[in-house]
Amino acid sequence: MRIIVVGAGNVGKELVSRLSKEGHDIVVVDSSEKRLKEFIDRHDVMGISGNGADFDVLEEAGVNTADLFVACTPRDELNILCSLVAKKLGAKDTVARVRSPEYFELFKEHDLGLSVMVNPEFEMAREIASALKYLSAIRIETFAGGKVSLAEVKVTAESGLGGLELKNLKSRFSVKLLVCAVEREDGNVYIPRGNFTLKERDTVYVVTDSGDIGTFFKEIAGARLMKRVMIAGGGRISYYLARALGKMGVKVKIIESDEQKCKVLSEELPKAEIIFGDASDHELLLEEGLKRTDAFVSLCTLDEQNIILSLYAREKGAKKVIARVEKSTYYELLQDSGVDSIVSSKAITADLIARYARSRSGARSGGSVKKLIRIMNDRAETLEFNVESSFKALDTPLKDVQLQDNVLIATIIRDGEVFIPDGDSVIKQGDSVLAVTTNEYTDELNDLVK
Amino acid sequence: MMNYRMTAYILGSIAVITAALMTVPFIMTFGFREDYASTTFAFGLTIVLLLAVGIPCIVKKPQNTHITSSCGFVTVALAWILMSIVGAIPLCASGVIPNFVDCFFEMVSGFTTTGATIMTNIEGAPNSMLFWRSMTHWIGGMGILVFVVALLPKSNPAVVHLMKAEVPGPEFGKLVSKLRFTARILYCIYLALTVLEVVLLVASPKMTLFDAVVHSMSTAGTGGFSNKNLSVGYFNDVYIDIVITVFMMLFATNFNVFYFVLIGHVSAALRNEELRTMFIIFGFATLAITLSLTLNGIYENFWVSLRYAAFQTASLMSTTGFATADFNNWPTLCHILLLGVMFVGGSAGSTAGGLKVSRIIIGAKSSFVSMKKAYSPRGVFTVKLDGRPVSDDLRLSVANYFVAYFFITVISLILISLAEPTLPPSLQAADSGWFVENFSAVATCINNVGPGLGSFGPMYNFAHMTYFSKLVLCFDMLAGRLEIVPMLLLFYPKAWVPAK
Repeated sequence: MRIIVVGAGNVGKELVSRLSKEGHDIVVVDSSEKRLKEFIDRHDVMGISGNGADFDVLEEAGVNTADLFVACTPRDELNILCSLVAKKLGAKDTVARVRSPEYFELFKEHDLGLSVMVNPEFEMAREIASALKYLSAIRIETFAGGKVSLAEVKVTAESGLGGLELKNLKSRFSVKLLVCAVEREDGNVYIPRGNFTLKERDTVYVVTDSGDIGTFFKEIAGARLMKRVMIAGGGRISYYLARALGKMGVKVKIIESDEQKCKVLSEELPKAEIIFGDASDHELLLEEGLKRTDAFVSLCTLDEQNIILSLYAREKGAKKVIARVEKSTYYELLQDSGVDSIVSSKAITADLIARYARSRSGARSGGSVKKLIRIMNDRAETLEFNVESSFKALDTPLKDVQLQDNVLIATIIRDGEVFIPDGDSVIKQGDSVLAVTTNEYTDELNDLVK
Repeated sequence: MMNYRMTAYILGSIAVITAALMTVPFIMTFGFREDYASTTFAFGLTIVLLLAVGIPCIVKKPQNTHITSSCGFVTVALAWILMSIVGAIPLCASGVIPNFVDCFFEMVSGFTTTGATIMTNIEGAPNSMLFWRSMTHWIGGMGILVFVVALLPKSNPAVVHLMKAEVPGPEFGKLVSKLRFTARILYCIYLALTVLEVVLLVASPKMTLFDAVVHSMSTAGTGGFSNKNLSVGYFNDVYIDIVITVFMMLFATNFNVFYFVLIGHVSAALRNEELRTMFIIFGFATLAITLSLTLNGIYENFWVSLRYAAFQTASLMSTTGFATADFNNWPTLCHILLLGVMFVGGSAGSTAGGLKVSRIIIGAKSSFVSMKKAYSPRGVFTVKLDGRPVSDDLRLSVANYFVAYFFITVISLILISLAEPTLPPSLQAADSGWFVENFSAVATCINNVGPGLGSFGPMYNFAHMTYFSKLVLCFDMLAGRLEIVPMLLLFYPKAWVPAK
């Protein structure tokens, strides 16, 4: 695919590194020559320096033959403008990063000619909210229009999952579920079979019908619903997050050190409690009930502050701690630190766009990727496919299908019904299939079959 | 920081590719019935040797393919030195040139597209050897690593450092977003132009197909090896002179220009500042030399003078080094102009050597700006190339390049002057004084031209030099072709530290 990326910032970097590894033809446009040089040294891409909304620059980048045009500069207006110009000049698909809620709503409601808008703050808030829904879940993703849920769960002493052999899973829970991937403490990633035994401190990915997920969480950790969440920092993500949590009936407390921002938040979020104060002041946190809170989310601008605050919150007994960390070099450091989830808007945005690119990359045999989610620090992928008539193993019982190594068919969705497949299940044309694999760059269903 | 495993892998692939390329002269040894010389054996031996060393290096792909830019530079420099050594084996083993240092000099001169020779009787050598000599020009012109990159099945972002080290010019610009496609496009243009020249040359009744191929490959790499003692002057044909003149200038043109012409952006291509400047310099130098020749009565009339002046200016400016006339006998003004265009050289991104026209433009504009700055110290000025501002980094690197070039020239001149005794009696007739002689020898080598002045002139050769001087000149040729930094890094101990 020919892709043009305007803006070589954090998101651009992440995005280009993903897309170029997948083998796309990429042109990066940025106003800073220095940043471009860094790019060209690291990735096999072409760099063009200039304004992304400039006609000549876009023409030089070959916009008329581009399959995908991505605008991810820090400025919303520029992104919108670039994308509109690119669309006019013949780019097939355009993606713009738009952060301000006003523009986002405007373009979402009226068809103004943009293919896709990405609002990283909104996406991030949604991801945090889904992880906060159940106390023991680290992260929850949905597939097939929300019908199937993929939950990341840590095996702890009280969860009762430790030492459990997977074939006994059925008898242990009243709902149907499937463990599709396990990450051991030593960092190894497994696509488990029935004889696999879970250990304490494993990170487990569970696939189940979205209707059953509540029951599942009740059965592993007792019914504990999220009641109180404390958020440090009152930026846009906090706003979206508070709104989403408010809808779930969770009490939200936001601590923000800018008085003006506090005022705006209190106007817009009548249900939430807004505290004007410095979140790095430990006394203030304790006074505001850090010890009683179920979850603590740190969304300040500085990575380091977020890390320290969440570690502090963990020490003081917050049951769930989420920190926003943008620098990927910190991830490894934080692996066993006690911070439950790390979120990064750059990674989320890059993920979304890369996913979109994957779903657009031309005709595929067997079936195309509808949705893709990377799990286990990008070491495994969960892919949703539409099954087409060209699929090699159509109507064959799964026990007779030679799957590639490290591939698991996690669910089959037929006519809106979710099946956890067994050896006798068959895949039919028109089904949706959810597969988990540690093999990289799968982009068609036939890739999964030997 | 060296990734030795990756360096070995790259060098191994070069060895295998060189072996593949060497099969062409190897097969020719049968066709030309050269059984009398041991050329078949010489090429066969080298091919076996290359495969024996190369294949073990490439059977397993290294796990860590990452290379830093300094590793890229060192690898490129090593590749060129090793290639020259390997290329010299057939010359030595077949006995065409008995001494190995001479063979090495000949091959460095070949791969760096210099065209300076130590062979006194070229026509006496076997055809397959002459073909191999010219073929080294063709390989070295566009660069062997560019060829390796072109053959890569999958992109590896690290190889950009290899291209950067090998493609001449102050900055390396991609044509398309994938490096290997850029390399392929470059080689396709290169091959197409070479074939076109062969076709045009063979149309002349004076040239055989073999002559045409040898001269085309030498022109394409802007090298200058001929299979005739008198170089192109042997044919003494206006048509051949014109064709070669035109192609020498074409190969001194930035290949990006051809690409833009190919994709239909003709006007954008012709607006290229470097291209225009190069032809303006070429035009002025030709005109001045023509007038000087006519007024001094060297040739019978203006048109004859123009023919020789244009050919010689194109030959030296494109750093090819073919000769149709013995310019030793020309007036001093012509010598100075010819030395001048040697240093200017061709365009960036071409196969030519020299300082490169774009560097001259940036350097000249920078010094003009500093003059303006002296007049109004608070003024803010920008240097532009092709209507785009030139970054300060680039200006600095161009200035540094000039300084490094100057130092290498001066130091080489000193070393050679130390080593060179007076001329042998047989060459006394050509003596032009030690400074002119030695300076022209250094200039011709560092600029990858070929012939110099005096006893290094177009009708003479480098055979009478001491081995020490020959090695110094080998360094100069490599430094000129690889644009200094890779060669200097070889002498920087920290560059050899293994990565982890």
